[in-house]
Order: sequence, then C-alpha cells, then structure tokens
Amino acid sequence: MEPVIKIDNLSKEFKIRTNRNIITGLFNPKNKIVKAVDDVSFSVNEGESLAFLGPNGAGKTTTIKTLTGLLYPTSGNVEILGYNPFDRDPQFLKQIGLVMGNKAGLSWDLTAAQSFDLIQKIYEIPLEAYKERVERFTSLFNLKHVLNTQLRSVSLGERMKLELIGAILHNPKILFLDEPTIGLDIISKKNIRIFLRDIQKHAKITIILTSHDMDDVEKVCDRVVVINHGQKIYDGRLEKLMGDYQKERVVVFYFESVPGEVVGIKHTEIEEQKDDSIALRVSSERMPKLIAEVTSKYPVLDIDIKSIPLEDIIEDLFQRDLTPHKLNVNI
Amino acid sequence: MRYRLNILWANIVNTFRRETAYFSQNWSNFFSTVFYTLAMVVFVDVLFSNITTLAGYSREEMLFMVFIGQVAYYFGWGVFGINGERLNEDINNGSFDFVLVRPAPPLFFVLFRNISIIGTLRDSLANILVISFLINWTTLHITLSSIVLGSVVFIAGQIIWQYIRVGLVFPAFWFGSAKNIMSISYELTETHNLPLEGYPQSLRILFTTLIPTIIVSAMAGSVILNKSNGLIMAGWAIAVTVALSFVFVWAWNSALKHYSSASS
Repeated sequence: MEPVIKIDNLSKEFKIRTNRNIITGLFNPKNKIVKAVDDVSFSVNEGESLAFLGPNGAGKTTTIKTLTGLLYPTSGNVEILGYNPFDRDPQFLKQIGLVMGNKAGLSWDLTAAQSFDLIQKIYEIPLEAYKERVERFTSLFNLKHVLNTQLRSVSLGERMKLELIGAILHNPKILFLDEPTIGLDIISKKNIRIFLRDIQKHAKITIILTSHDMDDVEKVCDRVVVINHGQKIYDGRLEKLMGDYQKERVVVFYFESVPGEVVGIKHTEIEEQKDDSIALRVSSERMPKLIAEVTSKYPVLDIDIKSIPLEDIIEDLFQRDLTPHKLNVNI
Repeated sequence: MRYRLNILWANIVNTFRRETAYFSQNWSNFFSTVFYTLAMVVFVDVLFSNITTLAGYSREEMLFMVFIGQVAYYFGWGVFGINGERLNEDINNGSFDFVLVRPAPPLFFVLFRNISIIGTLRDSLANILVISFLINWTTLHITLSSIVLGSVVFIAGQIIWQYIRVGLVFPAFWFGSAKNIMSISYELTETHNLPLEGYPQSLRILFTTLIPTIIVSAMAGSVILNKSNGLIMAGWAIAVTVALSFVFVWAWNSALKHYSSASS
C-alpha cells in the first residue's frame, strides 16, 4: 500500500530571542536555536490511525504543524498525498482537516451554521452534500439545538464537537487532531472517540492524533509514534507495545487489613498500597505462583489482575530514552 | 474568479453578522465620527474666519478636503480597516493556522476577510451628507476629467493604504505581535488630511514615495480640484501602487516562512 504521508529526516529549528533588553536588544539581538523536531522519519498508510505521543515540548505539535504546511521545516522531506505541504496547493488543502483543542477554527462571533456556510464556500462543497453532512453530523452529536447559537455562548464540549464537524465537512482524506478532547467531560470525550473511530473505519480517513489522554489513543489509534526531545523513540502497533509490556502484570489483593509480610514478597514491586489492598507488579510468568503463595498464606478477600496502563508504558518509554540531546546551540 | 467572488460575498455577509452580533457596538462608530466631523468643520470655520486661503485653498476647498478625507477614511478604515488588526490577533493567538490550512488564497483572504459595507454606510452616510451640504459646490473648479483622474488616484491610494496597514502587521510573523507597530498607521492617517500643496517639497516627496500615505486624499483632492496635473499624478499613483504591490507580496511570502504558530 502506498503511504499517504512520507516523512524523511524532518527537522525543525526555532530561533529564540535571548536578549530582550529594549536598548541592547535592538543592536545585539542574540538568539539561540531550539531544535523542536530532530531528524524524524516515518510513513503512514491510507486509513491508518496514528497517535503521536510525547511529553510537553517533545515536538508533537510542531510535527503536525509541519505536516499541515503551517511551518516550514528546517531540513528534511515531507510528502503528504503526493504534495509538498509548504506549497499550500489548494488541492492538497482540500484533502486535509485540522482540529486543535486549544484553538478556535470557527468564528467566535458567529453561529456554527454561519461558520459552516463559509467553510462550504471555501472548500466548494456541493450544496446538497454540505446540507446532508451538517444534518448527519449534528444529529450524531446531538448538536442541532446549538447550530444557530453564537459560538461564544455554547459549552466547551459542544464547541469542540462543532470544531470537529467543521474540520470534516469537506470530507478530508487525512484528519490531524491536536489534543481534540482537552478539557472535555467523560461523555463528550467518549462521543468524540467513537465518532473518530467510526469515520476512520468507514470513511477510510487517515487520522493523526496527539493527546495526553491515553484513552484517546487506546480508543482511536492502531499505531503509536513516541517522540521525545524532538526525536522518535518508538514507532509500532499499539497492541504490540501493550503486548510487550504484558510481560508484567499488576495483581491487586484485597484484605480486611493488609498483612505486613505481603509487603516483602520477593520478585515483586509494590505499585500501590492502601489499608485494605496492595497492588503488586510481577512478571506474567511468576504471576500464578504469586497468587498461589498469597492466597494460601493470607486471608485474601478478592483479587484483581490488571494490565500495565498505557500511561505507565509511555512514561517508561520516556524514561528509557537516554539518548544524549543537544537541544540548545548558542549562535 | 467566481470562487473569489463567492468568498468575498460570504465575507461581506459574515462581517455584517459579526458587526451586529453585539448590540452595544452598533452605533458607537456613528457617534465617534459625528464628533470628529463636527470638530473638523468648526476647525475649518475658525481657521478661515481671519484668512481667505490656506496653502492656496479657500474655505470651500478646505471643506472639500475634509469631505474627501472622510470618504477616504470610511472607505479605507471602515470597509477594510480591521483586517490588519485581525491578522495581528490571529498571529498572536495562533488562529492564523486556520487561515493557512484552508484552500482559500491566504493573502486574498487576509486582505478581504472583513468587508464592512453596511456598517460603514450606517456610520458614514449622515456625516458625509452633512459635510457635502456645507460645501458650496459651485465655487469649486471640478471637471469630469478631474473626477475620473482623481478617482484613479483615490483608488490607488486606498490600495496603498491597505498595503501599509496590513504590511505593518508583518513583523508579528517574527515577533508574535505588531500591535504597537500597527498603531503607526493611525498617526500616518493624519498626513492625508492636509492639502498636498501645503507640504514642503521634501515631505511631499517622502509621503508620495517611501511612505505614500497622502496619495489617497491629499493628492486625489488636489487632482479633483484641478490644482495639479491629473495625468501625471494618476500615473505616479499607479506606479507607486505597482511597485508597492511587488514589495508587499515579497514581504508576505518572507513573513509566511517565519510564521512560528503560537503553541497550543
């Protein structure tokens, strides 16, 4: 299958002004170079859903902005749907959609319906198709009642769903989502995740997502690229990543009160301890022995076996990333 | 072309919707311009109470300059004026991402995003009519050819003003905001209200070449009143507009390459 996104050795540097003195800064500005993305390469096939993960400042959003043509790369090649995104070819732009959780793509002063009308004209969406999509998406998200309300007056959850609708009205082939569920309640998050999975599966939309909410990743994405300090540190299937970490399990034992001896059991690591329970991290191989040992010796009320949460897996990847980084170079 | 016209129409409609979205803002500009016009008319009357001409302009001609200055203001600032401010805001808060990521040509969209026709008519009509009633038009030496050539100069001047206002925002692409730089254009507005002939030669050259702010009304007014050679002035205004267009587009393309997009 031909990839729809091809990125080779992408790097992006920013020049940050260090001399902010209002007098000397005029004549001797002094800048430092910050490398936000450092030699990143990967490709994405049509219909894939890829999560782009990393801690704050890792370079995720910069990469997405470079892929959408918002930022010029310092070096490297980027090809999206056969286009160079920085050419901003209208035919390319008609095939991508962008949602940013912290920015408003729809006009704050207008109603969503009025903003959608402008989108219809900008993307030249046939009128019948446009009406049908607005009807379908607003029904799906139960948003018909706010369609004619000024955007500043609708709730955050409703606004994000409207933003999402605005980004897919033109039926893009690739949808870029930067923290699409940030600040939303559980129900809204769930609705958005189900919707994204649905359009990815049925409309074959390629999804590129960044999020700090691992539930977004688990529910929407099949593949994960982890980036830290601008460099790619992991690229693989989500299930494989999870599988690799299933060599360990967390077993939670419930007691009336936790016996002191349990704390010292060998080949385990205490994940969490409360008055009536203790969670022990143990290798999958040793897990049956551990359960047998604890249940035979102590009055266990209940047992809960958990996989390692994705948050912990990603955190572990960040911590294992010990590559030396030269982020700042003074010039 | 049809695509751009469709977007222009959508922008006109959305501008009207945006302007009327907040009730309290509906009539504030109207009152603001009433007070300004009143002050200008009183100023001209005081000025001409002891003299008959100023820089070769009679009271009627000076009122005509106030008239054309106001028309230039309403057309430039009222209809298109807010586009520079919106560009600065969008760059500052990162919303400019959504201008770039959409298939409409970004420069065209930025220049014509806000087209306030109804709002400007609401704010300007009464003032323009009042000034025009105060002028004794029969005393002015205006001909059809001077009106045509003056209009060419006026339109060129409007295009130049758009370039200046939006161009002053370009440093925001490098520094994140150009709010204070943009305010220079407010001060420069004052330059076009004075008669062209009132300027010393050096300033006249400065304000019609490097900082061509007086073309829109001082030069246009002079041409319409047949006080200067219309053909030469119109040719000059067109030449400056064309030259500035090249500089403007080059600066825009350079600025886009430096857009760093506010972090989200």
